[in-house]
Amino acid sequence: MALRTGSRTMVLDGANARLRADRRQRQARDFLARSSTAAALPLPTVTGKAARTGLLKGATVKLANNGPLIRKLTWPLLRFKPILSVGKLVFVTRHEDVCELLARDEDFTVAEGNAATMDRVNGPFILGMDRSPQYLRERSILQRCIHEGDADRIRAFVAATAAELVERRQGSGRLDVVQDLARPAAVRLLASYFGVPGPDEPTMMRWMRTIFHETFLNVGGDPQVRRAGEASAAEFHAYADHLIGSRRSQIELGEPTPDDFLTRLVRLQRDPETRLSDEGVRRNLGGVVVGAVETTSKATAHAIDELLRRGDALRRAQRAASADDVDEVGRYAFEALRFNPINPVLSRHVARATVLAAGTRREHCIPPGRTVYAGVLPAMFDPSVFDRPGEFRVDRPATAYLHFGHGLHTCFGRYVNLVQVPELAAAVLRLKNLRRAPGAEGTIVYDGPFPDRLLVDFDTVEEGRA
Amino acid sequence: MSALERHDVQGFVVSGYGKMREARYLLLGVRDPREARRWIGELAGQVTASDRAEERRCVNVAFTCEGLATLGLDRAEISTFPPPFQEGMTAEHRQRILGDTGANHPEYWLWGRPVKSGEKPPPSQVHVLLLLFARDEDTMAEVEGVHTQSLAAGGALEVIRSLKPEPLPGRQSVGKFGVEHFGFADGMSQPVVKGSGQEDKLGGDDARRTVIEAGEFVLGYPNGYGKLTPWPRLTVPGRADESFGRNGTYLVVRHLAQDVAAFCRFLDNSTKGPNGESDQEQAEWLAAKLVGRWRSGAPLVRSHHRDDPDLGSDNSFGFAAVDPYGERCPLGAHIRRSNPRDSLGSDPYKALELANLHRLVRRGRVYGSELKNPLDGDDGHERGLLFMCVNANIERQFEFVQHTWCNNPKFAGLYDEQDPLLANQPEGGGSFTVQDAPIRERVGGLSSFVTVRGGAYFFLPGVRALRLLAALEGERARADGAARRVPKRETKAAP
Amino acid sequence: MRQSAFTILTHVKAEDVADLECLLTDIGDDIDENPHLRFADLDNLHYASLFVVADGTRDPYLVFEGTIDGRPHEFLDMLLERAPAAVDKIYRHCVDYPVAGAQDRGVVLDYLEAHDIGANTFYVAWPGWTVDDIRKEQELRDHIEKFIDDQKDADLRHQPPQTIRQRIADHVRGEPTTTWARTARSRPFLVKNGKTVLRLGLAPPAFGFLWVLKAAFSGASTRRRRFLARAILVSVLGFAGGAVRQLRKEETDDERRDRERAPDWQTTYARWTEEEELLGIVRREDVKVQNHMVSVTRIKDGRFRLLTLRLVLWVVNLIARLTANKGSLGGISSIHFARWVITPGDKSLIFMSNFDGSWESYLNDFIDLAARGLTAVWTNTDNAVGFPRTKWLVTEGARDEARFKAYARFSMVPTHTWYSAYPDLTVSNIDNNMRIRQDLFASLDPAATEAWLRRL
Ligand code: HEM
Ligand code: HEM
Repeated sequence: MALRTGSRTMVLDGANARLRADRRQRQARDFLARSSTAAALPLPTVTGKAARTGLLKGATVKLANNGPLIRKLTWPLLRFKPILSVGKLVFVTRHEDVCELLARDEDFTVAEGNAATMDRVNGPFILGMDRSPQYLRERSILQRCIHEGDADRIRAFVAATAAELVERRQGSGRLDVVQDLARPAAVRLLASYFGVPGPDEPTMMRWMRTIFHETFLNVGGDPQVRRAGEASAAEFHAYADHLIGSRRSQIELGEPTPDDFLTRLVRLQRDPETRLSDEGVRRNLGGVVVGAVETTSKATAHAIDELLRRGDALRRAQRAASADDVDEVGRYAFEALRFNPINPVLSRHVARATVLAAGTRREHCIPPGRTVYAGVLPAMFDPSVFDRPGEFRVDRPATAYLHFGHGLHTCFGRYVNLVQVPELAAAVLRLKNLRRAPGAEGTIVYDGPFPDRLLVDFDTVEEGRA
Repeated sequence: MSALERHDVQGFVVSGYGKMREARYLLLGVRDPREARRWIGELAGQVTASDRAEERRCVNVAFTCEGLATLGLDRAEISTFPPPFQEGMTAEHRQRILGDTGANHPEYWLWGRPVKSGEKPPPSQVHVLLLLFARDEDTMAEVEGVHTQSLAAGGALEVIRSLKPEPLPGRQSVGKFGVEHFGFADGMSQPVVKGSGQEDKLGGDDARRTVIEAGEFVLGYPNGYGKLTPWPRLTVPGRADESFGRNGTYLVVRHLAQDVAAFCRFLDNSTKGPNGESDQEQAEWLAAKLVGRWRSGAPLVRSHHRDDPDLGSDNSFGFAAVDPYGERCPLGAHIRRSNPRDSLGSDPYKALELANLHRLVRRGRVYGSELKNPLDGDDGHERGLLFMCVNANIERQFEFVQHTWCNNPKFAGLYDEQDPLLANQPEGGGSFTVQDAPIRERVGGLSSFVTVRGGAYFFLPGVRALRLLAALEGERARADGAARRVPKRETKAAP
Repeated sequence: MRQSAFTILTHVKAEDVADLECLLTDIGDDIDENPHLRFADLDNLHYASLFVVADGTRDPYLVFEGTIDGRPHEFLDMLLERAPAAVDKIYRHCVDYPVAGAQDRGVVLDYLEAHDIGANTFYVAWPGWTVDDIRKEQELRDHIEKFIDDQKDADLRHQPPQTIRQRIADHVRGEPTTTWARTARSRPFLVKNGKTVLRLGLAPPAFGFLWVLKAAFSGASTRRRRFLARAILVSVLGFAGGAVRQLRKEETDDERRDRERAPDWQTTYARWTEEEELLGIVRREDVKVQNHMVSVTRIKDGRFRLLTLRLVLWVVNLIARLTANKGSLGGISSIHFARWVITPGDKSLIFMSNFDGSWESYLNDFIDLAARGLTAVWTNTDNAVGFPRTKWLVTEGARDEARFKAYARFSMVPTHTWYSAYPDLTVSNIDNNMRIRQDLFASLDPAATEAWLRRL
């Protein structure tokens, strides 16, 4: 025929060579072969190096973790130019405007920014979807996996885990808030409450960090971060498939299964209304789990760090901890986190021409295609909502905090962390004569965007608290 | 930009009439031009326009070039139509563009083939395409009855062939989309016509991907270049009308037979295990790779491990960011060829803009019964897709997609393979590359799964233009013009 | 070895036009097997075409254009050695052909060379890549692909990327016919350094201008010097301003004339299906992967247009030599070779191009990717359809899709004979093959290894 080129250079024999074994099977095989050795491997340091590849990128990462500096930089905006357009970017700093922005999810969207990476690493997930029937359906299915009483169950589990983890360090007088406490505790909660233990803790921590890094924080597209993230994602997929498969067959066979998030998700598959496809279960479970570890650890580390800067507040928080008033500890923790939140800004894409803060003096027309940054940190220093914002006060209205975002995409794990972060903080605060490790060791060390170490010293006691 | 004049644009442009389960496509020949024009005048009042939400029945009508000439358009007027429409789908060089060679050659077509010199009796030329839609079978019977009667009244027109698509699946079916014979959900990806009112729901990326200038699908509006695509005019003094073509467009019809048994056999053969046993999972994987979506419609870009029916209607994806090398959705997969989205070229933004200059509004329906046990072989009944698409520029849209993307062995840097579903494969079978890391895989032995059985380019005029057609003067029409194209050189204008 | 272009223009005896066209069509219809001229015997020849331009407005002439490795002199000499009869048969129809001296190679060679006008602008997708390189690299790829396809047990693809590449390299090493592939091929100087050369070239005028500016306004320079510098500035600016004014005047005049054009362009274009010549062109298109396009347009009257055209062609040529020399001309990556030639007497502009894919997609590329450059060239020319309205030499123009396509179609001349040495390869195929070969034995990091494997 006319378009054929005539020279068929490659001759394939009629009976095709058998296609390569299914990718998934192969990955599972590779993974199983590797995971036996994985436990022995030290945590990889890929990400640390990767963050240094670009000066600018490095600076951005540093800035994002430097609450005080962001405050200084955004203060003039908050005061004089609450909505600022520069080129293709718009910065929003007032609390009211930030809330409006995050609430108007159809004008200010997330898919443009998140969907591609989400797809690449995990598969479609609510965090990368805009309001749509699919979003609403999947979010509500996830919501149905949260049962009454979960908060108490989480509280009890985290308290016990934290106590055990801290207990291990009792003898040494030194605790790494990140590696000794927050990360392992979060990973154990994944096992116990979400039902995703991972092959072993170090592997799970590695997966969660590299995947999280690639999914949310690899702004400049660093190839090393990407490779590490995608490799972990492939392993995690294979693992999750296996896990879900065996849980499903357990349920089908009527065997007893732990009452965890996974079991609930799989059980919901029975009803067409709440039925996710098998792949749907995998990507939703993956999406939820990946958001859990590094966020928790960062929140805990930043909260402790900020408290350590404020002797008075620290002492009062410690008193609350010793009195087992964890709610009060929570107020301290989240107020402390205000000074260095884990997400100082959230970004949105402008889907269509629109007006922000309409009818106010700040009214601002925004053309489509722009990227808008919702300044969560400056908004939490907006004096119209946070009276005397520079002061550390625990009597602020809980609803004003924006740690977990706002609107449609409000953090799905909020109910977990309203409990978990305070419990972890309390476990640290209970330590006797809590103080930073001396010198440089006492400041947070980051691995790229993640706190990797925060060493605190304390007085050892012969008899640990029960 | 002026909003779409929906009362004048035929409804088929903006809707595939998904609620109308039944459809009949009547291919008509004009027998008495004067009577035929009278019929068109009557029909103009019944034609479904884009602004009418019909509950029970829809009627649309389109014309071939021969049809318009027979109805009385002057040679000079005919020449205001673009070359592909004038020459028709079967012009020799168009056969190469469209891949209509070998078994696809027009000489084997059931309809739409050109007259061979000396052929007796000459095949009836298709002049008019009457598209009838109805909510259910009874209504269809009634609608069809009424129309076949009125078109034949006074010896105006004759039904040459009636094409009968399968009824669309009713409510009980899984998704809202139909399933074509190879077993894939079809129809999820459609451009949204700017000004049709459907674009308001979309934001951001989706809008950029799918909202297309009205002029790409309807004449008389700015096209993708911000220009007006030239449209046909009436030029004869006395009836000259500059805006005859406004709100009209072109409808491409391809009658495509699908060899379901061959398709399934190919999948099975290519994925047999070492001991010759079938491997269902592998076969499904390969099938998805050929199409670029799983059977449910879930795009491979978004779900590359296995089918995910929850993503069945998903169309929110590009290739560049997630899958630049085709390791999820192969470079040569049907949907990547027929709409490469943002993947051709180094700048995805620009690539998307350029790809969107070649979009089609697809309006196909499936015909023929389902083949029950495809691995047992064919049952001797023909089945396939009555592929139809709407576009304002046949060369830049339909023919470009078919030639530069689907049929092009060099598409996206490939060397020697064509659209795995559509291609007219060479002797010995075609091949298909599945990109993968660390190295690609290649499948051979693809046969031609689709054969062209008929087709034509039609003009789908605006409602007002129908009235103009009906009002053409009787004297100008050639009563004997049926089945004969107006000789070419008679009106050659002296420069 | 650098490719070069020859374009031999000779007048055809009026009474012989039909015979010559007939002969050329004969050759063209069976380019590989015809009894007259076997292009495949001519090593070093990438592309060649022969066509007669006879549009009634001027004396008919024959164009013989070719793209070759090396210099035209050697090539034409070889042509005369290997196919003297064919040359004679063709050129016998031409005015001034030394019939008497036809037995003498030297005389005919002189004749051909005397009529060779080269090209004003010559674009080469891959400078330095010879016919031989291109063919051999394709063989190498075929060889590797076959090796991969032959790995039936699927063992290969379970190996890590490095191992796969190693095995491929080992396989190639074991094949005696591909020893040449072991040495990497380096790219020509200008391909690697064109940008630098361009910068170096632009530096002196830029510095000169700065110097003049400084001299004109700095208090430090002497009065005399200041006066001189200002005079230079004023004249340069004045000249530029004058040129721009003249340009706009020409453009508005064109616009006015275009409004009065009778018949209007749409009517002219509507005659499309009656133009046997055009139909003939279209009927010969899309037979292979590549196509050939010859366009002849009349240069608009007046020195200004001619000067502008020459300037633009010179600039485009410079860009083609220095920066657009890596498989893409202004973003269009489907052109193998293209050239613009102003005919002797400055009456017409001929454009000749060897490209991948259909004419429709080629023109879309023009409009979508390189409209400005093409407008700057063709806006200086005219034909029955007329070039679309242009502003400031580069804007609008070709962006008027429908009219630009009509203009281009109507400007086309049938190529009676057209030869391509590798009709099945696209520019991007050649690029890919080239890179496969280049890195086959190189030492690559893991990312580069993966990228290399993706090329297969
Ligand atoms: C168990 C731990 C966690 C889980 C499972 C989790 C899960 C999620 C999920 C699924 C979303 C997306 C919601 C949607 O798009 O509808 C989300 C959003 C968010 N999460 Fe979490 N999260 C966790 C911990 C945290 C922590 C500790 C913080 C900060 C203190 C946090 C801050 C946020 C924020 C700010 C958003 C909103 C992002 C946006 O609007 O762009 N999350 N989280
Ligand atoms: C019997 C023949 C054919 C079959 C079985 C077939 C099947 C399919 C399927 C299953 C899809 C995916 C569903 C969707 O995205 O909506 C699709 C999409 C598409 N097909 Fe076909 N098709 C056929 C013929 C054609 C022809 C002849 C053309 C035009 C030249 C064409 C152009 C398209 C386009 C433009 C899309 C949408 C791609 C996108 O926007 O992502 N198809 N086809």
